Amino acid sequence: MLIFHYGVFVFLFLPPLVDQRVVFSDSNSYYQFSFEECDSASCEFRSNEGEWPEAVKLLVQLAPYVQFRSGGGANSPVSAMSWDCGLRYVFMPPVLQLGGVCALRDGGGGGGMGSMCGREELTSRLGLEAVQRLAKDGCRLLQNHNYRLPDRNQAVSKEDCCDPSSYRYVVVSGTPLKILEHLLSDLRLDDQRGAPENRESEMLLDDFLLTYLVFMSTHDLCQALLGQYPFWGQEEGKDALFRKRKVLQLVSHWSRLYKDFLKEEEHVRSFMKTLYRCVLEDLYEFPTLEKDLKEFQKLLRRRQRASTCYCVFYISPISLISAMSTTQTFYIPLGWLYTLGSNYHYHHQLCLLLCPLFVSAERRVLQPSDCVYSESLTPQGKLVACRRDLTEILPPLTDSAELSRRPVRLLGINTWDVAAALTHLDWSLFKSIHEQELVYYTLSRAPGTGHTAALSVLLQRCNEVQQWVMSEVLMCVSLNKRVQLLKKFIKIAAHCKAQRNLNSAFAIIMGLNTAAVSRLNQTWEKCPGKFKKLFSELELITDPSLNHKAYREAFKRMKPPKIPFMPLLLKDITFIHEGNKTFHDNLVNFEKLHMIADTVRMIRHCQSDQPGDAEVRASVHYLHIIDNQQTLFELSHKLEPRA
Amino acid sequence: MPEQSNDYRVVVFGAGGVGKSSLVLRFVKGTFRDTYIPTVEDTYRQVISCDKSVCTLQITDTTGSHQFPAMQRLSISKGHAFILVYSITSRQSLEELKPIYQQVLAIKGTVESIPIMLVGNKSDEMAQREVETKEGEAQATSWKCAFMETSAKTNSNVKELFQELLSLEKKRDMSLSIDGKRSGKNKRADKLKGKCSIM
Repeated sequence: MLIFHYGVFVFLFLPPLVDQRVVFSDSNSYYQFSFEECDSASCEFRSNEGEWPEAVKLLVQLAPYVQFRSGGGANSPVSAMSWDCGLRYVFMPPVLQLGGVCALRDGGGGGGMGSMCGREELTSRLGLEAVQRLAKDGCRLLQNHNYRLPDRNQAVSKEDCCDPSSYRYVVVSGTPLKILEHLLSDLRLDDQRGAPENRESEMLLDDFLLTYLVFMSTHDLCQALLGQYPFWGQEEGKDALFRKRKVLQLVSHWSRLYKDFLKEEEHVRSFMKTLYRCVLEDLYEFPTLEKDLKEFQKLLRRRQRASTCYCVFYISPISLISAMSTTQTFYIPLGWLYTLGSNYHYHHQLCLLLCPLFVSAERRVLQPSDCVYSESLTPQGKLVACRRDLTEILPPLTDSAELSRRPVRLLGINTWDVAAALTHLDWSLFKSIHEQELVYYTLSRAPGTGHTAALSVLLQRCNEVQQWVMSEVLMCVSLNKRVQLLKKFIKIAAHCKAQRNLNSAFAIIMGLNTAAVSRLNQTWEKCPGKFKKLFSELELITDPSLNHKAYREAFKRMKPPKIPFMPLLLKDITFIHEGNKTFHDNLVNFEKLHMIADTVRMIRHCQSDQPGDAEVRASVHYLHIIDNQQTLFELSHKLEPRA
Repeated sequence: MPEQSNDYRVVVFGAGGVGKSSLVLRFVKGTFRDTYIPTVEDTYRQVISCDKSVCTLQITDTTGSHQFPAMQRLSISKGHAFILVYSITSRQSLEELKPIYQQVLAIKGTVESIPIMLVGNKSDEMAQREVETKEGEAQATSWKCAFMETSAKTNSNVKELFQELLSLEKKRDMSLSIDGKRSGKNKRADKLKGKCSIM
């Protein structure tokens, strides 16, 4: 007989005979019943119908029990129900509420079942506090963190949290397939979602979907899900319908989490198609599946969003232009390239060359109809812009005379505007990052491929902003202009921080802090104290001491939406992954996955709008106004009457 | 716990993919029992013995992406000792250490009294070796620093690396073991009886 409550699997093997001498040998499962569970609306204990009360009666008759001494009545020791299943627990008031199925034994230890007594009687003997305490004690007794279930066929091993008001249980290990089964059974269908007791199972599902890559491939997951979908003939009736709906629900949760990301995968596409066909076939037998089918169709039809394109081309052996665009084409403002004096020609005189990285290989001049595409951020060749006669556009950058003619455009631009533009671009990159990319990035040895495109571009951006700051400062030959430039950059960094874009703020601060720039003492000395002070304050946030404590605390205090310093987030995930085993024996270490999922969820948190924002918006959207001038004057006179 | 002024700060530099994070992890993981949580303050700290008392070893592992590890003036100027890591399977990674060494030199002014260790990691991957031990040693000699080959994967020489680094510090007498047992080298240093100076 299988008893099922809130996903706590209870496998009971009940011998056919009711024999008091039978020893309860179910040592491979354990369970806890606390009286709090009875308050929940969907608690099966409450209903007086069904197998539960009968099963309890049967159990009571079978189980051995312990004795408790109560306060009064020394002659008649009272026992509460308990039995040993590897762990002790106490069988308490739920049973009593059902109208009394409690067995007592007298102190002599002789045979016999003793008498049945009602709840009121037991409570009055033990006292309500004692009863409550025992239940809580039952809770504590179960908290055995090192306990591992020896039986691998066990669905999942669980541990109980001693605080009944928080998680009722936490899954810490199980085989991958068993975890999936468990998740599916635990899944609450739409009508039941949102209730607090479902939050932990939803969290569990979220953890799993974010991190399954650590121990199974997407292909494996698709296969497993198909395996879980009951086909015609396998199962019938209500159960089958539930199972089908649950599989569909899980798939839509998965799809919602990853949006277009999943569509890229061949396995997922064919899996979705297969699943869709199954659901269509089942529609005849289970017409209620129609609603789920419609949802599913919506998923399949979702269109792809435009992503940011990124392009790099070299204009001299050691310098390049890095370009970002949300359209498919780039318009490179060649006016940004600095002039060579009279030798400068306009863009129609320029051409693009594709140069492979290796010297021996051939250079190829690109025609306007040519298309170069790379999925990786480390392409096999580099694009070079040069003049038609294949000579370089720019002279060597070490020529000071040429450099001194270069206009320092940044000096004429408002720092807040620059910061806002940087942040705007960073946001478009950050928004396109899927949480799963972080897992892919950590696991794979070749970052920058299709699965981690958006993340790689954002990271590249952080590097490039840093190098850009260095380049601008170091290409500025005039001392005074260099000082101005330092001031500009310091202000831009401060604005980025104020705009909660820590990716760029860090990049700029680190750029100014590199040895090449920070050693320019003459320049720094001429920088006004006010700016130096501002910079020192900004520097503090990049202090790596105590595991970047300064940054972590500052970032935590910031309200979303905010952009984190991505390299550190990735480092944390790498260390979680390398510092914790994925498997304990053959069981998946879910605690590790939960930690990874928590870190990855940070992205979601950063991208979200906080509820408080609604209040702020309301305060400016809805203004209370007196529009009568007379009244306004009267109020003014009332406040400060004429002397 | 706030940063103490007698913390001993070790900074680890190296290109991406050489295994410096694995090295650090190997070393600090010994202090964590089951679950390793890398986001807390104490993740990269370890108590060590220092002169007659104890102090904290703080390890700073550089962040930044593979292509451009961010080397900050702050970590270099505050650092007491430096570990420069390359991978024996990549000549490129040794080349990339050269500008890093220059930066340390530029910010510190002199590397005379600063413990620096050049580390060739991934010593277990003998088939893919690109940099011979002799070359590493030669580079270390030209930089006037110490040299060691390690493997984070097989846990070879990891602890020895940190122990050796600590023994290079002349201003303090430090050791990884707190119970007072000293290695042979430190017994010699005992005679100097240096005091712990606040940097």
